[in-house]
Amino acid sequence: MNSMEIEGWILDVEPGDKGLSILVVDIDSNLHTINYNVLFQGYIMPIGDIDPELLARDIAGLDEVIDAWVEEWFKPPYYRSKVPIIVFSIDSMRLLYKVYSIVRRIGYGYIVNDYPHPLIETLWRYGLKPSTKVWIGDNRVRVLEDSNSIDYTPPPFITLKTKLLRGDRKIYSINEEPDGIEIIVNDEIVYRGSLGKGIELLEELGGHIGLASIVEKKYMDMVYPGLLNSVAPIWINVDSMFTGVHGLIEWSRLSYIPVRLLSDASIGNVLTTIEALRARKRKYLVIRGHGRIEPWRSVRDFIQYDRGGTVYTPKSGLYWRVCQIDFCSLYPSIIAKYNISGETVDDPYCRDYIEPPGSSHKICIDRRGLVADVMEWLVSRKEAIRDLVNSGRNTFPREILNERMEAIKWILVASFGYLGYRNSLFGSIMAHETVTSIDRYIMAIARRAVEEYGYRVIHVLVDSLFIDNYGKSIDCNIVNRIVEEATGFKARIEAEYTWLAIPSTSRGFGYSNRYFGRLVDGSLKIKGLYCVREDTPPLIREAQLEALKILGKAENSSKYMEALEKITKIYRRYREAIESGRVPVEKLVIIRNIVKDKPRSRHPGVKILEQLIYQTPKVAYIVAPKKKYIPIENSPVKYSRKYYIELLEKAFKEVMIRSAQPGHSPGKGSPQSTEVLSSSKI
Amino acid sequence: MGRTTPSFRMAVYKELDRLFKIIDLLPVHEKEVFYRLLDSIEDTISLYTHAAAPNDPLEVIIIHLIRRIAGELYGDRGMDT
Repeated sequence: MNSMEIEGWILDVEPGDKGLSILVVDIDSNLHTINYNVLFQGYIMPIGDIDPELLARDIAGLDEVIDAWVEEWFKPPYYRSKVPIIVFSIDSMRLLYKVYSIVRRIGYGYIVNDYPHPLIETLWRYGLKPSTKVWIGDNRVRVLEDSNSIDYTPPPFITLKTKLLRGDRKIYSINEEPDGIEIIVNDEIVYRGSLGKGIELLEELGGHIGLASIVEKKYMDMVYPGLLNSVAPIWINVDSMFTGVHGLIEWSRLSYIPVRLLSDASIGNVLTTIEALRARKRKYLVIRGHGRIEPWRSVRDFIQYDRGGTVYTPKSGLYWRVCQIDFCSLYPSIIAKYNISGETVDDPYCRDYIEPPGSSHKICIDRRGLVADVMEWLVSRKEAIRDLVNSGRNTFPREILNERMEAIKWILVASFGYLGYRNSLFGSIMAHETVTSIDRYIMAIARRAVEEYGYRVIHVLVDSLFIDNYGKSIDCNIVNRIVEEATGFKARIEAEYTWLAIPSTSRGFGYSNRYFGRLVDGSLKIKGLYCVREDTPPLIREAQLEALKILGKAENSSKYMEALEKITKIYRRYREAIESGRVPVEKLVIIRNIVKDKPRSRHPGVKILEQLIYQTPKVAYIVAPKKKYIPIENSPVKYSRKYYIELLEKAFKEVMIRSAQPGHSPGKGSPQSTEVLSSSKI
Repeated sequence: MGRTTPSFRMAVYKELDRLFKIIDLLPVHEKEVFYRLLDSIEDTISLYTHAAAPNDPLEVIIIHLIRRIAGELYGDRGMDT
């Protein structure tokens, strides 16, 4: 027990012998561990005819239990009927699990509401949001800030990032011996040099949140056991970070999950935790594995409704003056607007319902859906941050707020997928289908509206529309307004292109998810090309980026054609380099994640793993003659010229797109066809 | 999504592949007509993503041919002209 008083930010929380052990960072960045007495709660649903009152009395009689009582909770899947639940309080998490095991052994009841983790539920009940500023003393906690604020003071957490180097690059796997280290404290490089000196410095430095790749952390733990954990109490795997530290802090404040636990949590965990806590408030029971069973359906039904969002097959080629209009958080907005949630779609006990367009399902509007409620809250929070940044009235740097916004965006992105996930607690496949059918309907309305004004929809990618005016000038603000007015959903201009290029598949159609273009401000937007893919060798990336940089300067068709000529020369230069056999192998490295438990045996990554001493989550290799895969640790000397030339050809085929005329009128035939240079023409 | 049925687009591509094998056997001038009529079939395939996928992927090709022939006959103004 402690009698001291501390003012600071909650960095981490762990269950203690009794209550919680809270790690607090004060304003001077010092760490303090404080014990805080709390009561954990357990939930049991009695089996069969067992009298809940009697069972509650029995549980209350257990030595460890402080109190037990009966509450009425709504039962899934539709939360229409109530069932008695025994709730008990206890002062230690270890004992909570002991009681659960007794109940399981005797077989009197089911454990329910075991999601989210009792630690997180306790933080939620006590209003203790991780990463918020609190005063702790006398076994009392006072939150010193508005924990719902969007412009909150960033906690003074010190981040410590380590990069293990081999020459100029990061080590690819734990089988490699690093010869240097880079240490970054709060985004500032404080050391880059030999490993020995770096380790000494690391021991002197102190941080709160450590950042390292899983390869680096494993290597350090293997060679210098315990060092990293003594330097910083929390270590995050940078490979699995979707967002920066400020984004993680935002997630922890939204979901009550401490930053340390977020390191291993998926975005789905964050989302489901937020939903589960909202369910607690409504007294909706969480019973894992209950599911919402899909009814029997005809094959015709499947063909008609079991489909994704709108994804066009665009015509490949070059388009001049294009607007890309994106709907703002379209799927979450659909969920919120149409009240979509697992318990509202096809609810058999519903009185009032709506039949959404293009869907075979019915949405109940008797009450607000849980998922719809959470989505509305998240979308409005994200928009509020965006408005604050745009207004310039933000107290803290724009970059921090953007990171917070990005973190919410990722939850929203995952929200739709989780709706149809088979283990989803609050979704259902029917709800999932309803969202995509509404998306298809909205996109059809948007298409019709812009076409009525004489524009053309070149491509649609889920919530994004690419619109041109058959090569003539176009005002994206007008187009955006047309889309918004027609659909009733908020949209924004994502990009305004001088030209947009869509590469061609081997069948001659355009790729749905690969495109690049020059924006009117002179910058380039690239999606799905070789240069942005993780497993592209550095040389190929470099070559394609060099080509794109030249194309990006072309602001009219004659300059574009000139740029294509220059690119041909770049291609030849890189090809000659590969043919010479003198390209350093470092430039030809392919890095792949080995993520599956049972990967396909023909996967190059698996073949590499077979050659390594230690298993590693990432493999780095080059393709040697006769298509042999050699890990970089085995110091390969020769590479397959044929393989890398083919890769180079593909990369250049992607970017060398010419189209003499920006388009054609549907129904009149194509005056000039789009032509993609074949590799033989390069 | 896509749990039981093959990709609609893949089914259309397969039909087109089959059709092109026949078209390639035609005399040059007839072949050109088909190539011209089937140009921009991407747009018709894309239209189908908004509505129900047909039972038969050939429907997409037929609808596209009708669109193109109608366009050639009546232009943008439709049949009222």
